[in-house]
Amino acid sequence: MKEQLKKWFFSFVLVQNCITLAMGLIGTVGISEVRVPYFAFFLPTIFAFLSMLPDLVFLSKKERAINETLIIKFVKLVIREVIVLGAQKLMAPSTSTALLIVLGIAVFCIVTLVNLINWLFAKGESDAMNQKLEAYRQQNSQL
Amino acid sequence: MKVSVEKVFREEEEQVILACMEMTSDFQDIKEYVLAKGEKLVVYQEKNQMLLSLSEILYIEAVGERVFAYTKTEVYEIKLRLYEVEERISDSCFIRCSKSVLLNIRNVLSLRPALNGRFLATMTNREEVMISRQYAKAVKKVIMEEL
Repeated sequence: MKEQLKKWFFSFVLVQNCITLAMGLIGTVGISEVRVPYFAFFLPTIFAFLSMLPDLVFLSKKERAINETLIIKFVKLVIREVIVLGAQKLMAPSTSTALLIVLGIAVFCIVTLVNLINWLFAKGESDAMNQKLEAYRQQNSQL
Repeated sequence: MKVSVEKVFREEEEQVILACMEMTSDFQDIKEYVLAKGEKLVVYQEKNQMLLSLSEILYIEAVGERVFAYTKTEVYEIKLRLYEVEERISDSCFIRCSKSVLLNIRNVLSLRPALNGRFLATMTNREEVMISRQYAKAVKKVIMEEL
């Protein structure tokens, strides 16, 4: 469980950074004339925590089949979209539909990016192990 | 084939040297036997009892109450519990990779990441075996530090 919490926190920090970046990008491109209050600095942390809540709820030691994992990932994505868009609508009821669509796309992109980064880390680990296995095989074939 | 035995006085000097002009299948068998330290398991196939070299086994899996050893082409039954097999072969290259599977690290061709911190091990016969999240760290430790 400790290991999973560590992973959760790593993903949380990653999501937080991605949200800061997304806010900066969407703001600069779409609504550059709008000035934001200091409260806006808390938004990445708040949104990151809210969007990471499904992961805390689904945190489990149980090993699931690949299909089951994919379904859970999809369900989590839907929950994240609902939470983030719902929170945005609650905090700023005047949010336009266009901005909500952009936010929805941003949530999808961030989830994909976090999964990709986690996969790249795992790929790095497996590559290191493959090198070690290859070295072991070569050492044995020379015997 | 000539066989010579030389007495040494230190344990570190103990070794088996194969002197051959070519690595024939006979020499290959001897090499594999030595590498596996001659360890074998009693296995069963269609009520026939036989001894199976550990180096030939790709992985051992518990399916319900029964335990099976998988080689490149054959499946044999082992009449022991999985934990009993694990205890017997604890000094060899077998490592627990999930609740029901013992993996022979020597016969792993490559590894690739799967979903949720798991890995997939491709065996020498191209079969894939799942390394669960719970045991991934232990497998990594064995490959990186003990192999």
